[in-house]
Amino acid sequence: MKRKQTLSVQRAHGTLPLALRILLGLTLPVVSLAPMGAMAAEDPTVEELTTPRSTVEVGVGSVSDSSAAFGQYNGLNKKGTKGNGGFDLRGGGRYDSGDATRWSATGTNLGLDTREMRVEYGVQGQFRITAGYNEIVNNKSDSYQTPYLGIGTNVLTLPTLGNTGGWNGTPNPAVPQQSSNANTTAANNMQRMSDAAKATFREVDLGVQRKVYDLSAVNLVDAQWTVNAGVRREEKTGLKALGAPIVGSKSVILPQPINTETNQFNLSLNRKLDKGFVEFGYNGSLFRDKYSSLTFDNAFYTGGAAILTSAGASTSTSAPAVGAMALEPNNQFHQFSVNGAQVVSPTLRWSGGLSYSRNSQNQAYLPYNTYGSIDATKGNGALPASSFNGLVETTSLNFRAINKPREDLQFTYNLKYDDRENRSPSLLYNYLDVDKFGATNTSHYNTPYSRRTLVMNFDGDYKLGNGRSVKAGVDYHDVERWCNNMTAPAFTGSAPAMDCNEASATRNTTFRLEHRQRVDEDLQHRVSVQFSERRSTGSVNTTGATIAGTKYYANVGTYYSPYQYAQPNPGGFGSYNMANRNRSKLRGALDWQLSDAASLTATLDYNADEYPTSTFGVRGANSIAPSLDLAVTASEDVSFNGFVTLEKNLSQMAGVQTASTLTNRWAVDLYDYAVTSGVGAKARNLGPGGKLDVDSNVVVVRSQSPMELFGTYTASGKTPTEYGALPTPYVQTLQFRFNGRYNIDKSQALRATYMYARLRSSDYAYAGMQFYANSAAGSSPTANNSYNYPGLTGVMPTNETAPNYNLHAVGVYYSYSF
Amino acid sequence: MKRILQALGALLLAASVWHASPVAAAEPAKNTLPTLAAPSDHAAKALKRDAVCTKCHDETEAAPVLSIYQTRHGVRADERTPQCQSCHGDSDKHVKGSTGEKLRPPTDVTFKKGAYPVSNAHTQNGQCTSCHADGKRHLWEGSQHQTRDVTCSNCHKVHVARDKVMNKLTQAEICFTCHKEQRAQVHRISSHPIMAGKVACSDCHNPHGSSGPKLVSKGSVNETCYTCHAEKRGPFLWEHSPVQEDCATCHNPHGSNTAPMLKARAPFLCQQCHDADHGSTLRGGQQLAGTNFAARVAGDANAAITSAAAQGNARMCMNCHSQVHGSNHPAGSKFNR
Repeated sequence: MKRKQTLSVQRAHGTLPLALRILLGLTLPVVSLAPMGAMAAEDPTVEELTTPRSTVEVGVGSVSDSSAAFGQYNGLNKKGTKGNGGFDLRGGGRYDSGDATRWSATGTNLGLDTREMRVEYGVQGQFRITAGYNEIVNNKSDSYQTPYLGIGTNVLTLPTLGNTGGWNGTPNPAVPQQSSNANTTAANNMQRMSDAAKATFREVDLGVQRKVYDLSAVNLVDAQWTVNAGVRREEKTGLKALGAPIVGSKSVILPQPINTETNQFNLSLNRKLDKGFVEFGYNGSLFRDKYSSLTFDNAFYTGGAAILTSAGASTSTSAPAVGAMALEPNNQFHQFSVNGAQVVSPTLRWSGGLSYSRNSQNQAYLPYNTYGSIDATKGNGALPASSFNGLVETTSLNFRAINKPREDLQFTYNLKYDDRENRSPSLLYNYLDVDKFGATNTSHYNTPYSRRTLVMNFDGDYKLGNGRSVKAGVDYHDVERWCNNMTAPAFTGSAPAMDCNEASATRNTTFRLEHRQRVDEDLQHRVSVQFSERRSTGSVNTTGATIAGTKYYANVGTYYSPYQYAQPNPGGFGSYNMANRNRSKLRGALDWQLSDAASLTATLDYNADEYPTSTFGVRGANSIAPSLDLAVTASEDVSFNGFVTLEKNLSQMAGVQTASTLTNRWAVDLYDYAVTSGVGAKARNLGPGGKLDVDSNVVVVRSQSPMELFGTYTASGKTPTEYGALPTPYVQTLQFRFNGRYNIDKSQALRATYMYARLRSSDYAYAGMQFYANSAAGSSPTANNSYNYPGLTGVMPTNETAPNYNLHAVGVYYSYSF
Repeated sequence: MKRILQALGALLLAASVWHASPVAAAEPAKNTLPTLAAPSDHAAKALKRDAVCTKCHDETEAAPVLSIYQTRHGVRADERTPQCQSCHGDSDKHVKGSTGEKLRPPTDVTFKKGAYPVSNAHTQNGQCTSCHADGKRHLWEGSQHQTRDVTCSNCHKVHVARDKVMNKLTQAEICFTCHKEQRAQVHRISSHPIMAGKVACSDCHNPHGSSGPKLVSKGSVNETCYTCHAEKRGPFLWEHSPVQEDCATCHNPHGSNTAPMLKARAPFLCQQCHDADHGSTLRGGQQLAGTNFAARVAGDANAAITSAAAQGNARMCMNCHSQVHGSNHPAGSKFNR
């Protein structure tokens, strides 16, 4: 056995090809590439272990079918063959030299839309610069269809139909040459769409691509001071579906153009102290949306002039001809922070931070509607401001102290204070809903939500000996909510005191207890329980603050939005994120090394929620998720693993249709089941010469979400009156992967990959997206309507289908290491 | 914007140029970087000390030891980097050995299970935090992982050239060693691109400690989400109360059966807070289940056609209330503009 080798001091290492050195020399002007090939004689094995290896890989991959769902994130959404490749290059001074220069350049998936590259250069202990480029795709749908023209812009128009019919069975004056259309069937009904209109639908891929550029530097000014600086720019482009209502209860699903950029900056100055550190930081984020609005033709428009009366009525219920959506406004975020930590004594240390941030936006408003101001006779036709001038200031403080009075005892104190002050103005906005004529105008004040959060934790961790530990803790989480700059209007009726929030305060107290035991080197387990009680102040939990059975949070005549427009929730309703809640949690884990070759891990998560004061809304929920893992090492070169995780979630909720009398009650039990399982195997040094390494795994997921619906629900429980279950949505996936690597020699290898992927899914929601197909009972399903359902009357179909695929993907790559 | 970029670029260039020129100094003075003094000498001294260990733990070790020299810990020209003894202790008894025993006494600090019992978590982590205590790790003490005796070496492998947990493509499998439910959830039909290697757990979580809940990397869930979803930051003219408070009220960022990573299906998700106006008229979906809709969807072509409520089908409530993250339209208080 070889025992000794000389760890001599060298100046440099690396055997980069000349072309690569030139490339790096061009791209990294500050890189000082050390002389190559100046290595001292050294044991080849030692050399191999101590010298970073560089690898270049090129190859080709192919996918047997197109599927946005399969290629949602991996860039393999289109059938066909693509070249692909990557590199991982590393170099710099030898570990044993006086040169601390290190650099690396990596690239992955260079032939796909998910390519990523990163270059790093630095002199360790002094500075490091990193630059990266990353593409991220999110292919959302390849079955979406739309008739709209102008895809990718923020002005969407409907195509000319000729004189064969309108969009909804009636002549569409927005489209030329339709005046002679004799179709007089029900207006505003997408089920009556003409064949000519259907013919204009075409597939448009929905998806978003992000291109992320980043540059960062770490500079160790001296032994105490370090400066970190970085910029990150993200450009996002693409299309996503956007529901856009127009006139009464009608909607079109638009291809919303995405064209945004987000620039982020960070700068921090870190000083090491004798027994701690302090850090001053700045984070900035500027978001810019190329499109602040999206204008679209009204597919339900059947003509008529926009004539307003003092009541806001019009001569046409389908006007106007176009609608406009506001898209995400430009915004800015600036945060200044200071963080620090100190070891006060061997038994006491603290850490903490303070930050202040400003988040603002002042995007110019769109007009109330697309046809002009509201009737001047109301005196409120003009916007109260030309832009929002929104500002949110957030001040945060966190503090943590750790006290270890004994080796076996630790106390942890946490305090976090967060004050979100929304200093935006609150003004009265008078408008007609969704550009709709025929309705009375709506008056809403905007509500600048503010809140103050105080979180305190106290934990004690005691090691009992024999590998046992006990941890106990209590959490206190307090949230106060209010709205700044509100001008309370006079109440009408006998509504109770107005509050802009359903819960002006929420207090959550949690008690935790955990036991851990390391029985021996091979067995350890953990079990923990947690009980928490959330109590809220405000109308969210009250049944008494009602008028004829209906809870009123705000002035009835002039609503504070958004949650209490039109009709408030019924008495006894508790919004699930604020209502009184009792929560129990149980966690367990077991790690067991069964033998030298086998290990087993088992975990269990159980949660149970109850909402003691909610007659309506979520009344209870529970979930359980056991999991089992087994790993077997058959030999030094062969190993297997398998796992299975079961999840069952149940949420029980109730509602009432007629709030004034609390009649027509209903209840629903929502289930979520999922079984995720997988097995894998790895083997290396197979075949003649031990040149073959393989690994393979298969992951199977079966999930479904049944829903059971009940009517005539009473507070004491569900009645036998069962409306039945909705068709159960389900998702079943299977992915089999195989990777094989044949090492030709120490520098060259061939790698082959294969994947079989299958997805089966069903969701009744897609039924409502289809074209109207048949109206007669007993008619047969059509090819374009897998659910044999006539779509919706008020929503433009998109003909999207639930994702399903069954495909193969293969790849062959050659890699060279040096 | 351009000026900021230019300023930052100048800063980066200045930093690199400054350090591109070695500064000669006989002795490292306080507040100067020691490596600027005589890196070769330091490297030689460091390696000499390493050799106490590497003369036995050499290239023949089954678990590679010498490959640490490929890592940042192994750059001997950087005086800050540890020697073997920095982490494992001087281990005098182990080095000297003992006569008559098959196995030498254990090292002072043992990180991985093997011939010797592993040191306790406090001891192990103390070796690492003696250097790595500031920056992103300053909240390690008292964090969920620290108080549960998770050790640095549970996740990191410092002797290998490519630490799995530091690579986006492989990081998740390290986290899933303990977080089994999250492993299952990322395989759902709607999830972040974690399995595709485009989002890492550490993009959202700081496993070394955080002032926010669930070890999120920023001070709050929302602030963390806005890192990539800045368009939802607002502030909007019309804010949706639960949205500005906590994105996780509606979303499960690890994955869900219901896109986009929703905790429940619409309209029920919305009805958990809204049971008024036409939200209530869905009657929990009885209009869907109680009519022939379900039968038609289930394949009964003889069932008479009925029309489901739009708010209970297709994109459900979001057919119209699509701007649920907030609206800046003066007529958008119902998030439909």
